[in-house]
Amino acid sequence: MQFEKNEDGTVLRLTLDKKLSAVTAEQLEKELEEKLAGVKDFTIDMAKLVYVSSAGLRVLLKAQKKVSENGTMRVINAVPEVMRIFETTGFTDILNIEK
Amino acid sequence: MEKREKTRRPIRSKVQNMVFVISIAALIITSAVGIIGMIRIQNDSEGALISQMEQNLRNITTNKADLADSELGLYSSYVGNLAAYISGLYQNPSGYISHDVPTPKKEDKGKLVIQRTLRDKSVLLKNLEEEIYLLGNVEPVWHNLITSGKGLITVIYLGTEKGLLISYDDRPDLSAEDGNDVYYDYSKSAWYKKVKETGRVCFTDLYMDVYQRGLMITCAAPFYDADNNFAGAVGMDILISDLYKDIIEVDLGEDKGSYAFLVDNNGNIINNDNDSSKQKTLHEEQGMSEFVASEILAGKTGVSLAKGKTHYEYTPTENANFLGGRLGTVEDNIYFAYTPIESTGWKFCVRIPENVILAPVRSVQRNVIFTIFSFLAAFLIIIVIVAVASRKFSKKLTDPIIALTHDVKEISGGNFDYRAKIQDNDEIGDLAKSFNYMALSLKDYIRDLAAVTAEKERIGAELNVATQIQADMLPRIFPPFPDRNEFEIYATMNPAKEVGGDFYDFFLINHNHLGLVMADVSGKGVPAALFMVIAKTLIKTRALMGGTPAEILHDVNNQLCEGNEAELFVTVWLGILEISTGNVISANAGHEYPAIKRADGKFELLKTKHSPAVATMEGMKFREAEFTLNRGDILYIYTDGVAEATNSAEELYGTDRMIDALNKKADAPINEILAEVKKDVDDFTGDAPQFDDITMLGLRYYGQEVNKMVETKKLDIAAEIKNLDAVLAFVDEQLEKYGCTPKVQMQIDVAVEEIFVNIANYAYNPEIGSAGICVEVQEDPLVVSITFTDNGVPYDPLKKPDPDVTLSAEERQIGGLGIYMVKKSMDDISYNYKDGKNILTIKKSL
Repeated sequence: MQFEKNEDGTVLRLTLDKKLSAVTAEQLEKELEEKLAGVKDFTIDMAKLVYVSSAGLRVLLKAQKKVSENGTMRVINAVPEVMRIFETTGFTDILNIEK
Repeated sequence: MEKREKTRRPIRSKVQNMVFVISIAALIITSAVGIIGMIRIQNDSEGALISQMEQNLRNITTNKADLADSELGLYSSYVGNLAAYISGLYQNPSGYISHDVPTPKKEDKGKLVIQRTLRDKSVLLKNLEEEIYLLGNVEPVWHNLITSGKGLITVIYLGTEKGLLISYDDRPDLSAEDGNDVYYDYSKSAWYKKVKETGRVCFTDLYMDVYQRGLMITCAAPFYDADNNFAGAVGMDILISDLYKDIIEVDLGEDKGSYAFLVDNNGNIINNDNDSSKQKTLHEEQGMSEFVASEILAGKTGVSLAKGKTHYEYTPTENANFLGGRLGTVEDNIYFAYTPIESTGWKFCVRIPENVILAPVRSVQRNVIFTIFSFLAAFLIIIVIVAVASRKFSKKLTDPIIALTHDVKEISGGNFDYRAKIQDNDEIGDLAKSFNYMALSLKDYIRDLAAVTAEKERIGAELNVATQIQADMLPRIFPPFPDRNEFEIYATMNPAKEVGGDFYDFFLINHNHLGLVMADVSGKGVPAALFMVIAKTLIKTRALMGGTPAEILHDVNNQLCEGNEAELFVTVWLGILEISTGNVISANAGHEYPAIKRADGKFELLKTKHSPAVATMEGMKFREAEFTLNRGDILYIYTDGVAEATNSAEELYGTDRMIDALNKKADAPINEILAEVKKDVDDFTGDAPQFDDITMLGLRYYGQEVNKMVETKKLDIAAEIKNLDAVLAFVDEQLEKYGCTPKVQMQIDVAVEEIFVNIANYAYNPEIGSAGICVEVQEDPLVVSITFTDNGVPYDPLKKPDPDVTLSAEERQIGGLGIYMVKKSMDDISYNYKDGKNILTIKKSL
């Protein structure tokens, strides 16, 4: 996974790797705890992501809740397999998914 | 059309022909009656004329014969008296003085004198002197007789056996000198011979007087001597021209062929003519037949017809008509009337040709023919007149009809503003008025109809939309679950009206349970359809929430009863099939019995206990029935539109026919079985309109395949999150062998992760235990099942309610989402706690 942050620290872009499993979700959760501070515009690029489990969803939900306190979070480039999981779990209504 | 159309015969020609035929028939009948009458009159008058003629002829002949007899009888009595006088002289000679009889003298010519003649020279005068002087006494008697005889008696004479002939007349025989005897052999004369032979008074035949005084006849009688021996004969010559005329002259009209005649004893016709060449016999008489001649000569009295030859003859008529005469058959038939005359032995005959008698009839005949020709002429004229008149009449009759036909064609062609113009005050005029009225009514009607039709079309269009909506509500894509091979399902609905009250439904409640619904809303049309929509939605929604059919119907019933002002209700058969076992739990709310076919048997009704229909009463409990479908069994559910289909004879189709129809193709695919039933119902009802919706659903159960186990791999590993990648690598290794798609592999990986993480987080917490992961792959179809085993605390993750995925991010609880994702992505998930182990199995088709 890869983070890009602008100079004043308000805009963060995250590019996810192939999998977001229980293992990788734990790492992501830790990284986000420090990186999300002060972020008002958070974009997650899911172009590479093909695997997401409930643990991953939990992290995405947590991030959404946190960012939405004083900013916005966007999800971009979600592949159909991932979109399907979002739909099944109702995350299409929770996340701000851009196509 | 097999029947050939009759030849068209217009009314005109019919009327014409009828008038024609009637007129001709009347003519023929009257003509025939007239002619037959005339012919009958002719025949009758013919008979009458002939019989009258016969009577007349009889009278004539007898009268004439009597006349002849009386006249001639007078002379015979004269002669008889003379003979008696002479006989007296012989018997009493002494009583008389001698009276000389001289020889003829020339001076006596023209004077009536008595004179003697000798028979022949052998007779000696001296032997005769005594007889001469005796017989001379006859002179005064004879003189008186001749002078009183009106000149008809020309001469009286006698001849004796001894040879003396004494005559008294005015014409003496001057062959000898005065004083000398003259000779004449009288003994050979007919009169003498006849008298001598017969010994009685005789008449000779007629002969012409040698002095041309006319027809003569001699009447002679015998006299006898004292010894009463025949002594001689006395005779007189009589002029009978007048008598002959009296007899012969008969008034027979002017016809030349009609006359009377006398036949003498020799069969000769007595002629008033001196010319012997004109003499003829009876047989030579014109028209005489052998038979009639023999009758006449036999001395019979009668009237006979002598048939003559038939020949054609042209007879000019006296009264010239347009024919001027006639050409016809003439028969030379001649009537002969005849009777004998006693005194002379002659026969009196009258001859009349038949034509003369029948002349009046012939005239009638001519009239008949004339009449027939007149009839014919009149006939032709009348035919022409009738033909012309009937033509005119029929034309007058049909012309308005033709005009009206034209008008009606105009109207029927769609021109309703057109009016028939016939104004006749008769039936055709009435008809024309009726057509005009009809045109008016049609115009109004069509205007109204257009409005109604437009309205109807609008409603129809809306109903079509409604029908489409309704149809779309029912699952109509088959197979509905292409990836499910445990059963085969098919259903059809044919609404009776545009929108119906029947519906079927089937849906997977979860991976292992299939809901089957067959229902019929009371009533039809739009209200039933609306109610159906509600009922269908409620049943499916409630069924998806779980529960048994009885529970589902109980709730749906309560829902539907609320505000059911229309008092509609719905009969429902609801069944839930457990796909893995074939077990069916059903509830029948006033619906038809389902039919079941066992794999090796035939369809039969499955009679389970009924409950009342849904939406009849709030709070109702519904009964349940349970049965099991085995591999190859078929379940058939339907609405009463099938069993109660009615044909035109008001017969019900009935479940017996339905069962028979089902059995016809019981081994075919379900859609063909249903089509067969529908076809059988259609054949049965024929032309009768479909009364109710016809809805059917068939399900053939195959059950779960006993799959061939291909491979089993097992991994025992410590239940720790860090081992997750190892677990996934193990699973992926198995999956990759079978060419699993990345998408399915990802779903399985996610499911494995969720379950493994669950075990790692909760099973042994806070200690670390082991987890067993067993991957089994089956073929046909390719299914992978993964079993997780742990010895941790008993926990059934399936019991946990599903998270509400509709909540917003703020309201969302983290947790429970994993198992939910597994349920959604896997084909099957099952939990078992056995021998102190939690056993969770997931299945997925590859």
